[in-house]
Amino acid sequence: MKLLASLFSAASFVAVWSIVALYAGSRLMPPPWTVVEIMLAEIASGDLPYHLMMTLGRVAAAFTAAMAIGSAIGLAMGRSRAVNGALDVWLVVLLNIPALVIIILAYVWFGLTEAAAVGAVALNKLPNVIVTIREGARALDPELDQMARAFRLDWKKRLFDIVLPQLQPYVAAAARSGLSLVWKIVLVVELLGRSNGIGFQLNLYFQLFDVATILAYALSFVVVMLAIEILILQPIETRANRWRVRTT
Amino acid sequence: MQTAGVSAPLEIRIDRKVFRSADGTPVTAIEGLRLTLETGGLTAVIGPSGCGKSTMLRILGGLDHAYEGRLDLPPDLRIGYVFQEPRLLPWRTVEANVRLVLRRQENADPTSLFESLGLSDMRQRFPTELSLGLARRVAIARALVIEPNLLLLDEPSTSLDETTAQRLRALILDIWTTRRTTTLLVTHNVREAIALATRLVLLAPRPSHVLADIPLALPQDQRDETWIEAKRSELIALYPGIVA
Repeated sequence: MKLLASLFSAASFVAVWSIVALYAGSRLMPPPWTVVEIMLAEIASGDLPYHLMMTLGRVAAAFTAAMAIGSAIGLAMGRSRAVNGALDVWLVVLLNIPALVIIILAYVWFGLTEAAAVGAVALNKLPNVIVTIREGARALDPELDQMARAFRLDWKKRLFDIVLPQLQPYVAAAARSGLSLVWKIVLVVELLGRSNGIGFQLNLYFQLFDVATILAYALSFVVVMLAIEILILQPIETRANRWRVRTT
Repeated sequence: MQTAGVSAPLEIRIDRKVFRSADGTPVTAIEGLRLTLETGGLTAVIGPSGCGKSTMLRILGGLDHAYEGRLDLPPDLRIGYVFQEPRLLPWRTVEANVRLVLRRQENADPTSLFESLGLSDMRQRFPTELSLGLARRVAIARALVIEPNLLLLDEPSTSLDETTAQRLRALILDIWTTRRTTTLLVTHNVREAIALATRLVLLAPRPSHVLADIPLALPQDQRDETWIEAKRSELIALYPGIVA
């Protein structure tokens, strides 16, 4: 039933697009089949896979950095009033700086380098991860913590057996919203200061006013991110939640 | 199986333990509590609810350091703590929960322990699938797997139906009889205390201290219903309002 609904949803999207494109009859609103044609041609030429891989590499690097650093800071802020007080203003500032400003400043201060690009994206994502994980850290069960102390568990067991499983829903939420945020910002970073990647290609075809190719690139990227969500993120979550399912 | 515990008795001296209540006023929970636990005994601490039994247990278990007084505990003391709630990790199987508290070098095989506690079929289950009675048994298994020389039991039969509670009591007695681990049982159930313990310690209401220290010499398997009831009536007559 759910699959049927999804199929219907996708089919109606293609149908609406086709009708609008046929009516418009314009180079600026190409129909789906033209876009798919170009997509296949770009794949065959190797251009699309190359730029896609560059972008995915940046997404992976920025995502990993933001999740790792953000989780550590969020955990520390959630567990310690002192740390929270010390970092709270920084967090608010970071939360409210527009992504574009961080990107521009990163490029101005550190040059048009790969590190500046990835760093700027990670920094944009960082405050969201911190806020989410901090909430999780505040909700940690004090009874399990007492149990860990009573049995003198070492820090590794406390972290991996007790703290992280409790944070898992928060980490999952941060990862979900994080991935979609990161890939959008990565395109901007590429557009402004990189010579490859999907964002760079979009900029190039924007200047040529080639809407069909722009759509081809955008669509292929969306497909890849969707595949990551369905094939990687969701199975991980199901696995992590298998103890929960049994209560019903 | 290691049966005996440490040989030196455990000295507990809590001069004062003060809580802050929700509105900020200090409440003295314990004042001048002295208790010596002889090795190998099963001591039951009874007293009205809110008299600081669990607080004393937390201090003894090293979970609360904000008190005046001192504990004289041997350095090799291994405490098996059974909390009032099972406090199992819901995301780990029963077996993983028990193995969790083992240190790396001690790769003990808990098979016989699971058998003796009737948990053999439960090893791969998750705690959310267990009844409270079973979950308590898993919590006891977790406390026993480290081969403790001091076992702390906080209200082990609370919230259980009478049959399950009775079975759990039999289990506790069985564990103590075979291992002779120094055991401290905190309970508000006087009959339970009389049925199980080798010694009763009566705590006064807040601020808590030891009101009476009553040895029970009769072996547990010779204590029948009438004996327990007689002992209970005797205690009620001696300490009205404390023992119910």
